[in-house]
Amino acid sequence: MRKVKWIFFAYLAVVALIVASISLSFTVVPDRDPETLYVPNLFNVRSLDPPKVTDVPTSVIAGHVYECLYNYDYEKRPFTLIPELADGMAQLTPDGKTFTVKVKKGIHYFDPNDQIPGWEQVKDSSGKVLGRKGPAVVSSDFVYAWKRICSFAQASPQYANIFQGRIEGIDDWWKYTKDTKPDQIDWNRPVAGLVTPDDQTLIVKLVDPFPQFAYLLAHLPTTPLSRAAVEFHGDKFRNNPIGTGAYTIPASEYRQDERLVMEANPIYRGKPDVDGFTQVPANEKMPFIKRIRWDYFQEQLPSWALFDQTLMDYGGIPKDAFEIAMEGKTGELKSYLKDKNVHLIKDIEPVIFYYGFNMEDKLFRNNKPLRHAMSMAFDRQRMIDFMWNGRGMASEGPVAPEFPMYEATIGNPIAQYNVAKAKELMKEAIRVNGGPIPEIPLVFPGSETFYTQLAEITKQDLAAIGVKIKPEFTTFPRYQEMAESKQLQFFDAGWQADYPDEQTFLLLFYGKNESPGPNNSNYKNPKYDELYEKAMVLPESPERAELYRQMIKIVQEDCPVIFIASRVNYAVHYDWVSNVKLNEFAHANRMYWKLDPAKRAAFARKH
Amino acid sequence: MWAYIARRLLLMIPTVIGIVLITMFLFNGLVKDPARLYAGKKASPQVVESIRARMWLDKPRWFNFSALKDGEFSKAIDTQFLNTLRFRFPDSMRYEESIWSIIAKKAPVSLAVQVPAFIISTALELALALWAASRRGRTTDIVITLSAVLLLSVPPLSLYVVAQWFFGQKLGTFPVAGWDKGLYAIHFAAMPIIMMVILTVGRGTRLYRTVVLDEIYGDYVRTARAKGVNNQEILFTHVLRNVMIPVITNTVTALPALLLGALLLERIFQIPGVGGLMVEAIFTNDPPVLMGMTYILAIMYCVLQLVSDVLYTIVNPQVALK
Repeated sequence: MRKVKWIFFAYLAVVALIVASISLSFTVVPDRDPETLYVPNLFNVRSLDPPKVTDVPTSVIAGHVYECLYNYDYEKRPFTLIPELADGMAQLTPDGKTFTVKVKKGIHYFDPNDQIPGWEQVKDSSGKVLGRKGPAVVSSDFVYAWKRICSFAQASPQYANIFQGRIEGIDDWWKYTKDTKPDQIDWNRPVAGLVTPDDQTLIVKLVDPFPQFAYLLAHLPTTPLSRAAVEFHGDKFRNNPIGTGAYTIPASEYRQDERLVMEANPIYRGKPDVDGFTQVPANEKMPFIKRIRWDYFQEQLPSWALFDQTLMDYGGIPKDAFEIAMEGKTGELKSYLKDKNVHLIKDIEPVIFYYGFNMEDKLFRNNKPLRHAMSMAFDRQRMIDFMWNGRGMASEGPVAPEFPMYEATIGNPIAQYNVAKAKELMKEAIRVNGGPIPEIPLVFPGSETFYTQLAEITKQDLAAIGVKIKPEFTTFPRYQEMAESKQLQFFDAGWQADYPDEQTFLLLFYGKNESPGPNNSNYKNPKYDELYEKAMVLPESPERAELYRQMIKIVQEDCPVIFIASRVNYAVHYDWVSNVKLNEFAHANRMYWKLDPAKRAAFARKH
Repeated sequence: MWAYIARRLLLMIPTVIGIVLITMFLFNGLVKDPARLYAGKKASPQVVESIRARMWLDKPRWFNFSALKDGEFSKAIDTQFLNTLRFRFPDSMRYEESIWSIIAKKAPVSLAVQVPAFIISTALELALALWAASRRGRTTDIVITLSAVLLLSVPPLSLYVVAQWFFGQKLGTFPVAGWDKGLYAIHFAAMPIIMMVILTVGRGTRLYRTVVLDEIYGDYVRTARAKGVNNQEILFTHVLRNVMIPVITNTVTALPALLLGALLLERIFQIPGVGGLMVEAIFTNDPPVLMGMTYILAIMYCVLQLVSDVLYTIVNPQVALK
């Protein structure tokens, strides 16, 4: 009998012990490093192995460790390629099918974990081991890395995005790796389209002319890899990235789902556009910040709270905190943030959102007045204000802002909100249809609140001109299946630019790209296709710009989609962080940022 | 008792098969092609094919009879159904690690929050229930019961957000969110533990109060009182012992939930535990993790049900297992 009583009291003693431990929490506070920049990471890093880098947030992190043949100028707009590991711009043969790239000399891999056998140890002035310096990058490292992406076992979406069907012999390589056990793959087996006559020369032979391939050489997964490093780490390479970039990520500082810390690469050459032998003056030598700590947040609000407490130096403004951060009317920061010397920066995403019409559907195929009416009845600004707190720009054509040809899309009358004109057009639409317009199912690729709210707004807008919409919320695979089999009649869609060339958007309307390709509207216009084919083989030039302009006008007039908007990202930072710019295409942006620890400390003392 | 345990273990076989069938239906039947879903919009059929291989969706579903004909038994049982039954899961698509190693990394984090919270709340629940029941109908009982109902009605998300704002952002008493290794974990675990206690204490108090009230008017209590045993002695020796059976049931069946962590709590407080893993797996489309975790937790629940039955006899030998 008494045993139970004593067990109960012993249990209470354990409780008391735990409560005492909790009270310890006030004293056990982790230190903050004055030389470290603290930033939130709102998306979890999937893998730091280049073939698996498929999303922008992971690419941002990995982009500080790896380098590519090309990068983008940090400040210049329109976005401009600069050589990074390449020694000068790529030479393209007149037939537009062969790229020759020279690789810079003297740029070495760095292992921050001091592990790769045979690599030379790097020590600081006090003799502390910082890591190991690997061999210099050579052209065959690119071939190895690209073959790895195109191997079956990697299951990398980048195979389709960058290489598949583009490089001579690469699809045969994929088949070979599919039929061969991973440990028996002969990595020296030649691929016809990837040739390395010497350590500094890389020749890429394309199946068809594709001048935009140069942009793909600035795409992070195309980074070279040291085969020795990959083979040393095996499956763990994803957590042990070894590159040539401005920063490194020591394995001990990479805690997935929690945080990661980047350390400045001690053997980095100091600037992206110089070779490994150039002496960069100390005051110009990048990265400027020694250490960057990225804390992962699944929810945005806590990261905002930490920014408000100055525990984060930089951050985004979550939708739910928008009203407490921004003056609605002026689009500026509220005064309490300005008083804390918080700066606001804006950046337009290279994405267009749109509603697509299936042009093979009999309702839409020959009924241009209906398409025009629906486009004019949709209030884009209301959607931007309601769904994105005003953080967006209405789209009038197939090109996102910040692209040179964006100007050509402005002034499209069919993308202006005009209910009176839309109602007039509806009369013609009903006549063309031979009777009233039936209820139209509008398919969304998900069922989240965002889609249900967007559906409601659209339903209201189109109801004003007598068009009844029936929203259908489906799963992404089902949506994809419907798109590929041309079953979508009217659908919600978005397209992110892969590179800063308008072609990345214009391909959406090319007839030969019809479903299952990306042209899910199944729009076909022989004149458009002819212009597209002409433009595809041309390098950037006024002639090509004119072709793009004509194509934009054709799409705007034919209206195979309702262009909705492009989103604008807002970010904030304290004034002890400077030289902050957002660049959606460039990698390693943080190496340009500067941190003033004294200013930060002074602020902390004052508040 | 051993015969009972053996019988229960045998009965678990059809239960486990049922669980595998249901999880397979949920993950492969309802979602037509998980590989397509994972591959994304721009993926080619070749990429989808290789992803299918990584998810083991290219393996036969039930049994590979052709391999058996060739005399390859290990290949014959290398199927989606039989692999799941044998706790063999494909690696996580996101972590590229086995589910077991992911659990081994994340379970201690979840347990670091869940176990202290569970111990504190169980003690509080029992103490409050005994106190309220011994003063039935009086102010103490009314206050405890009303408070319990109030705590039951608090939406967790609101509590978390308000606590983060007030104790974290405004007062700076606790960190708003985050996690760290070793002793520093206490710094970040304190507020989530308190939140868990607040959210769970109401339900347990109400449940145990009812149980204690059932016992407190029993004949044996009346007899003890008639014999002059004091109230404290009655509560802590006689009543407490009989209350232990529902307490054990409640406690043991809650154990798998401790491992699973609190999905929302871990997400809001940025605790890298198993709960966050499940939520993340949903958002990042990681079917191997979701399927494996569902199956493992279901099996744990079955086993712990058996454990709780056996514990009854230890606490109260009058309970016979038949």
